[in-house]
Amino acid sequence: MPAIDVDGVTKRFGGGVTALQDLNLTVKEGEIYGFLGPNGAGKSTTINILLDFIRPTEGSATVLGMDAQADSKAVRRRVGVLPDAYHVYERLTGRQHVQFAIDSKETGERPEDLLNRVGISEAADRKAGGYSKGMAQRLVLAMALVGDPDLLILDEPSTGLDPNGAREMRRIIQQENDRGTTVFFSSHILEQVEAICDRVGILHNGELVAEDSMENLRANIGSGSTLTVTVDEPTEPAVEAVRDVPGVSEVSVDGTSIVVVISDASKTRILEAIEENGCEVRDFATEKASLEELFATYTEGGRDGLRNGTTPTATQDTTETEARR
Amino acid sequence: MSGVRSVVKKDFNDALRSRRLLALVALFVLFIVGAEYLLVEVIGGEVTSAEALVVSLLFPTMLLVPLIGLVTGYKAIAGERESGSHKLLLTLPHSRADVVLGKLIGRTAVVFVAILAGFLAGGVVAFALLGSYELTPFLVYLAITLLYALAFVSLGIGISASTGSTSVAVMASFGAFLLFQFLWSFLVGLVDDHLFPETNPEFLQAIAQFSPLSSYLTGINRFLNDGPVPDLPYYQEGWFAVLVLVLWATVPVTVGYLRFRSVDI
Repeated sequence: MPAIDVDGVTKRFGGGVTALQDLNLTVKEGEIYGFLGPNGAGKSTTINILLDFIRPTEGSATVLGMDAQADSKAVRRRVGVLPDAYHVYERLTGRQHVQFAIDSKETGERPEDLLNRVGISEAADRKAGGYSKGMAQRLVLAMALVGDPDLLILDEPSTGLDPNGAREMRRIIQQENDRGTTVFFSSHILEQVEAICDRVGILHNGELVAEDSMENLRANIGSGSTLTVTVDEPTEPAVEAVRDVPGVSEVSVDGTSIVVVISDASKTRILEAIEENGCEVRDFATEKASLEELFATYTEGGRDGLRNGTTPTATQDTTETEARR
Repeated sequence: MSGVRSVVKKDFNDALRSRRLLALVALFVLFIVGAEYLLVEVIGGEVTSAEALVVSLLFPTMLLVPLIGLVTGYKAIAGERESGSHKLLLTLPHSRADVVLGKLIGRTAVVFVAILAGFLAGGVVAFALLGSYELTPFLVYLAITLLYALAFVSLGIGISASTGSTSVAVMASFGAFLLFQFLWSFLVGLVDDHLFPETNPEFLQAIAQFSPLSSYLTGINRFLNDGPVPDLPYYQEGWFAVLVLVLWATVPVTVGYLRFRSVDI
């Protein structure tokens, strides 16, 4: 039995906006499924249909074998959700929030244990209205973990988290998955999906444009990566020297950066080649270009969403990717 | 029922921490106690019985109770939809019916606490001023007032369930307040004059009784003040007044639920 089965779902909103077009999607039991796509692609609409927040115009969906509409309450009893664009109850404490989820799911757990797992137990008795976005995100994750759900649905889970928080979030997701929980999570940040997902679906303009394992997706594009070296001033000899390094497939100059597409070369040798030719290396960053390209290839024209990356590197990489085009 | 229960508990906790609500309770207590003090100490001699005291308290209750009910109700659901907290509410296993019913019970509880506080304070003061009084009329008065309050909480929640915007909800609530508290009899009278200049048809008089305020006053009159009155038309009877209030307590919230049930949120 698939954990999630979306069958031919179309959603048209009033005013003729088609958010989803004949979407078919299957998430297997026990896997971590990354639902990728730029903002506005229809990720949240899909999740909202799974939770019966909105009703499909055509098609149907099942969650854990139950109809997402008719059995919505039973579905939500066994699912933990971290929604997007939510708002906490400002006057209630963190503990009261988690207690609310415990009361609702009738699990009899202790709020402290859950708050502990997400690392905000010290803020348990403060009003959630005073929480930072990152703390609120942890709090709602704690609510999602109540009752040891069979399926976790996480909509942009690392929103508002710093890199450490995002890593912690991934650790918790992995931990839950190890305990047998299926995880379905949406993101517009590739690194995060890449780090933990078994399979990925890419959504663009309401249609699923690709669905495969992470490895296969990357294999389809090639295994190269991009090294971006920021120098004081790029010189022609330096660029030539890099071009001569074995395993380098392409070199270009972008402002004060030398952008090197590597198929199979030593980064150290590239950096050495640059420095030996009179350039001062100020900074460098590696990026698995294949994934970015893959993403861009499939979602051409809709990459604005990428700018909202949470980690500085992600944002920087994106800008560079775009600048190269 | 667990869904309803957790919504009630969350909502009651949340509403109790609202400053606006505490201000309303304080205002209500102040009005009741102030009115009593004025009547007994300033106007004096007139108030000799508990019934007379009760009737003299009608003004603060008939005006303030609807306000408390509507103010407590109108944001219950629209407010959550506007802020986004409804996503927490509805990702947990609550049906939309759980949400509406839970909100109705939670907010009603809050309003009842406010009214009980007002009546308790009023009772203590009345006892201090009068030295003694009968409990029964006071309790009957309280019971009818609670039903009257429930009617307005239901109206507020019904409005709140019908819209995702608190500004729409507040305007609709205020409009409903004006219409049913001040304009209803006037409008029915206007219709009467235009359509039936010569007569005074019975069904229009019955319709005039359909505002919560008219029913509240009729209820108080029948159950507290009069002895048995012979030959009353049915719409002047106590049971009719109670029936109308019960309709108010159930119909708006049901209509609101039916809208909320089918909407994309």
